[in-house]
Order: sequence, then C-alpha cells, then structure tokens
Amino acid sequence: VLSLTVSNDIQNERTYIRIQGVLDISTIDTFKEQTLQTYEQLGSHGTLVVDYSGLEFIDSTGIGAILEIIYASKEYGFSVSFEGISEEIAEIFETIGVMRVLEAIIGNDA
Amino acid sequence: MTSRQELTQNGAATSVDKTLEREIQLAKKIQYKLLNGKKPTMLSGEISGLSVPARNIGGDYFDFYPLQDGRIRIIIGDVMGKGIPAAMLMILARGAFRSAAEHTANPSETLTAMNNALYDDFRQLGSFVTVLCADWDPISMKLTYASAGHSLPIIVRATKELADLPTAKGIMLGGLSKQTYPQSEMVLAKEDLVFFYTDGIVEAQNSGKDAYRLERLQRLLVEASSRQAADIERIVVDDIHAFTEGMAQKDDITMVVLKV
Repeated sequence: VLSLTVSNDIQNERTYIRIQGVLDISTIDTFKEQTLQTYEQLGSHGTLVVDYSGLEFIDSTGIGAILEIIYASKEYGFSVSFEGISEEIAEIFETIGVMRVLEAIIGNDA
Repeated sequence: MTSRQELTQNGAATSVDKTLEREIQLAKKIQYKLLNGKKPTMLSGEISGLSVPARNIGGDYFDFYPLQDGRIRIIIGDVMGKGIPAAMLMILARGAFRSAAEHTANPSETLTAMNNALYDDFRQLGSFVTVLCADWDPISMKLTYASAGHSLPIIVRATKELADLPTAKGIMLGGLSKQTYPQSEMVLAKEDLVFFYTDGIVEAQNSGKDAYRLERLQRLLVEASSRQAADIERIVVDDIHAFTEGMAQKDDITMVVLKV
C-alpha cells in the first residue's frame, strides 16, 4: 500500500512529497500520476523535496520512478532534494547510482 | 446484446487469451534457451549460472563470453521492472554485452560500450539495468570487475573466509550518458568461490515479510564453498525455498557460480 502526501511551503518555494509505504510495481501508477500533477504545479520554480522517512520498501520500478523525478526536474526547471533516507535505502541508492544521477542532473552535467 | 453476440465475443476473447498464453510460453522458452546456452570450457575450475524468474519470464540475466586468450568475461544483470517488458529489455542488454565483449579489452570498457549502446533507448523508455561485469583469467588467477549499479560478488576463500573486495562503483546502465566505470581486481587461489547474484536472492521474503538477507547468504556460501558449482546453486535455491516456505516471490532470482 502506498500513500503520498503532497504539501506546499509557499514562502520557501518548496513542495514536499512524503512517501508512506511501498513504492513498487504494484503502486507505481498512483505515484507517477501524483508526481506528474506536482511537476505541473511546480513548473520552473522552487524545489521538490522527496521525503522517504515513511518508505517501507522500494523495488527497481520504484527506483525508476525516483530517477524520473530527477529527469523531470531538468525538463521542467525545478530543483530536487531528498530527505529522510534510511540507511537501507541510502545503501540501495548508493549501489545503483541514484545520488550520482541527482548530482549530475542538478549540476547540469548530464 | 443478443446471446449470440455474447457467445461470439466470449469465443473471440478465449481465442485471444489462448494465443497470448501460447506466445508467453514461447517467449519463456526463448529466454530459457538464451540464458542456458553452452557453458564455456575453462582451462581449470568450473562456472555455472541459474535464473529463476518470479513470473513466467523475467528481467534478470547472466552470460559468459570466452575471450581468445583463455579469459572468460562474465556478466550478471537486473533490468528494471518485471515480466515481459523487462524480458524485452534484457534481450537488448544481452545483445549489447555480446557485441561489446567482442571488441573491448576489459570489464570497464565493456560497460562503457554497453551504456553508449543502450543509453538512448533506456532513457526513452524510462528504464535502466544494473550489471556486474568480470573477467576471470585462469592463468594469472586474477578476477577483474566493474559495476554499473550492481552488487559486488561474494568471494569465499578456500580457507572459508569471506574476502573483502575493493569497491568498483559505476552507475546503472541507461542512467547517464558518457560514463566510465572504475574497475578493481583480486587475485584468487585454487578452490576459492566467487558468487555473483541479483538482489532477488537477498530480498526474497517469507510469509512474515522477513527478507532472506545478505548475511544468511554469506553464511550458507561459507558452509557450501567446498562443493561443486552446480551443487552450490542447488543448495542456495533449496535454502531460499526453505526460508520462503514456497511463497511466490516478487523478484527474479539469479546467480553465477565460479569455482576456481
């Protein structure tokens, strides 16, 4: 089960996506639908903060969706940052290279 | 709708289902044959690979490519996603490996060539693949490896100790263009065991949602390391089944066993 909470901090131009539960092939369509709406609201302004503190499990499809957020930031022009990454998720991101893709895209080196 | 129309529609749907089922079975056969091709002849030691898809067909893959100087190039990979879409991309990755292995000098160059070949397609399809590529040289007894977002192999020494492998971190294939992949190496000794794997093994879950975990796999490999490659494969699969109590798994399970 996946639950996403999207909230806005207008003053600091930050939009938060808080992931609760499982991000895998069974929940990916909901996730993509909601993130797409968020990109459109953000446009080329501000920062999208993805909060992983409620994430229980992520599979390769879920990681693909996280990468899509990073690529979308380049396409739309907003910034991305990650919060609440557990040690386990950090290890997965580190092995696969998610953080290096983030650094490359945010640094406009990709 | 008349009952005749309903019957015709139901009949057509059944026929489509049967065709689809037949095609899935054929695709499964193709994938099985591609994964279980000829095992390379080695100057010494033995190598074996096994993949158990979670569904009919899967996105995991392994391959061996014998090089002219006696080295064997090994690859193991995990395509994002599951089922038929992942299997289609797995075939793409296999072709890129076969073509790259032919004209590249080492695992690092193979991964760069594969990423160059796959990047545009994978980016367009919103997918990626993690792979570990290694060269085994039975003359110098050296294992050279590079990773594109994939876990390093587990090495159990003939002395039953786990080896501490130097890292070799590159990012997944299809993530960024123009990538280089650092490689590392390790000298092995007779009777050492090298176990390459995909995360479906360590993430296999039982009914209580507990994961199989790396530590359990390492302990099992230390116990089984003196056995032959095919035995080690069977022991690992049996232990996963015992742990999961036959529960259907979400992810494919793939391994390559190199016994020096």
